[in-house]
Amino acid sequence: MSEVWAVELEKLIHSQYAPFWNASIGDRIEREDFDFVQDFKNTFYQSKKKHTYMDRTGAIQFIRKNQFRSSFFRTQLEGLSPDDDFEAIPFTTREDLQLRITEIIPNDMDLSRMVVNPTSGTTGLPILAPNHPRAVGCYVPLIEWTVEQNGVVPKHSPQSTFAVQLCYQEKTIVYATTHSLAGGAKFAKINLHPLTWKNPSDIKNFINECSPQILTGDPYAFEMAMNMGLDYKPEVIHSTALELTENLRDKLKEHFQCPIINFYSLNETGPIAYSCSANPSWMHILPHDIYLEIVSNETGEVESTGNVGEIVVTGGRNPYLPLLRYKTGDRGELHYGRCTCGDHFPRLRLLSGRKPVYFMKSNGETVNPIDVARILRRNPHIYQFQMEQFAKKKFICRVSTSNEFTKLTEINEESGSITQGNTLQIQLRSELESLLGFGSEVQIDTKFPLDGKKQIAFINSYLDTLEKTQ
Amino acid sequence: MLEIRYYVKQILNFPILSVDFKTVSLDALWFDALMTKRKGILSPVFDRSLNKITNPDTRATHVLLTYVIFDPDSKIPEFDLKKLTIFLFETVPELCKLVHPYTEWTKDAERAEELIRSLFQALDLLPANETKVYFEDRYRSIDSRERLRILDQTKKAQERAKEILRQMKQKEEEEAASKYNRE
Repeated sequence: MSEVWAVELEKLIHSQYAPFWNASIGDRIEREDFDFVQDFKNTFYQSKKKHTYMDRTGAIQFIRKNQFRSSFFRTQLEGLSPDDDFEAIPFTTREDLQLRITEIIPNDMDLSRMVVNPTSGTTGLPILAPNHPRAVGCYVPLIEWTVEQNGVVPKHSPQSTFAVQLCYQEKTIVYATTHSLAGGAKFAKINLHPLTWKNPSDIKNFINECSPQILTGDPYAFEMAMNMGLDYKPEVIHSTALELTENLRDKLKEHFQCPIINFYSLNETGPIAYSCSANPSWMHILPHDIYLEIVSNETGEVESTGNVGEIVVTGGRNPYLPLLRYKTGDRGELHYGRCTCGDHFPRLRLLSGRKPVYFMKSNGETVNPIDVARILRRNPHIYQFQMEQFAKKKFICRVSTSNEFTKLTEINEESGSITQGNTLQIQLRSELESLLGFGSEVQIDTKFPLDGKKQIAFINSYLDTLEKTQ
Repeated sequence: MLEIRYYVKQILNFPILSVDFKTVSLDALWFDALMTKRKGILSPVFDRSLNKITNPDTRATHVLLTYVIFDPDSKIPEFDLKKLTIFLFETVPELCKLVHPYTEWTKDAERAEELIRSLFQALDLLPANETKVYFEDRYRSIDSRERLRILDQTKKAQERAKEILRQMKQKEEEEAASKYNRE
């Protein structure tokens, strides 16, 4: 980090309006990573210009390159020719990523540069996707290209702030850093939750002071920002992680008076697609080095253009996680052909994406489900979970767990009497009830299946019922 | 050449109790065995004396091999003596390190087959009713050296898997890399 960068970053960190920072994170880019990302950027921009995206031939080359490096690839391809039997290559599932990651990572990979970005996530099956700083660094040109499509010219200067990421959670990490791949431009992740600020008014002042070119975050965070009356006008908004409904997109556009980009990206795949500026309900495949297929859930066969099925990804640039027909768990349809927006990469229409779900405390406050996920994910006994609010104060937490978590033991109650129960369950229940507010009751159901499938992690049937009756 | 099972049977039926492996002259045995395969001057058969070999497994293995080659009914054709020399001085001691005691050759049909196939492979001989591809494939599947290599690899793979999981756990708690968005 150069001296100028450090001075600028210090100013941001020590601003009188700054939140209570609780983490220190850099981009971890080294010289060779920098060159790698520059090469990637050049190829990516050229590919966009020349409309050369990865097709099946490219995917086959990618597979051939990895089949003698990753024992997972070798096993999956046993007896198959990538050319002739492409569609017979078994899919990689979320369960594979969870249970066979050591086979997937290529044998010759040095593990010292591996990073694991802890995922907050909204699905009930955590995947610890290993990544490389250079692959994470490639997010910079990818994101910058999408904002350029909306008329924004990223300023690569240590005096400017390219992005501020918003979230609204009871607990999360907040930090500020500079991105060496963006010429030292600053970036901050902040939490809109009042607990993380000295004064509630500091939020607005801080954002105005660092005046980011773009705001990133999930629809939930943007909705909260709107409700809190945040009137900052960024050059563009980048929404990700959850489904952005048409209704909310229009509201955000009206409130923030800027283009809204919807971004489809998964922790395990990296960026996949972004919303078309001409027709925002469609998304264009973003990078030039991934191959998408749409696969029927019923037959497992590849669907032709215009048919809906599961999105399957091959390729990518994460050296720790080469993807071989990876089933994302998301559904959509794919179209080929030219587009009026100028990006002629295939168009994807996502179906039933990750809808935002909020839980409600009995006093009307909302609870971000990511806070629930944080509690459940850090519990080593819980493998998969689902949380449902089914009445004003009643919740059910379905979990698949270790035997220790389900085993009934004798518990001495305060009165001195002995009863059957499980202290791990009791602890979890009290932690969740404390998060969900006074009077809440959480029932623990340990019969949730561990089947490796992407499950809906958060359900609010109480709110659904309320909406229907209103 | 006859089918492989003929030679395997010879090894399995070798009259172990009739031989004193410690005192038998390997040079003399090889001389007799090769007399049936090569005409002309054979003395000395090899440029080094085999009688100096002291390892009991290696000595016994030599005896087994001469028994197969000497057999007039075995239909083993004439072969390159240089290839045999390399096999006896280089491969046999290596095999004997992996397969011991030598009685394993005579008790285990697969090991008997391995010994025969390793000899034939070294001499470029092909048993009856086998293609070169089949021969190589079968040999690889029972070759102790190959199996050891695979085992070694598996062991290494297991160690690497352990290391990956340990590092992932550690990295999860370390600093990640900053990105502009979340997923």
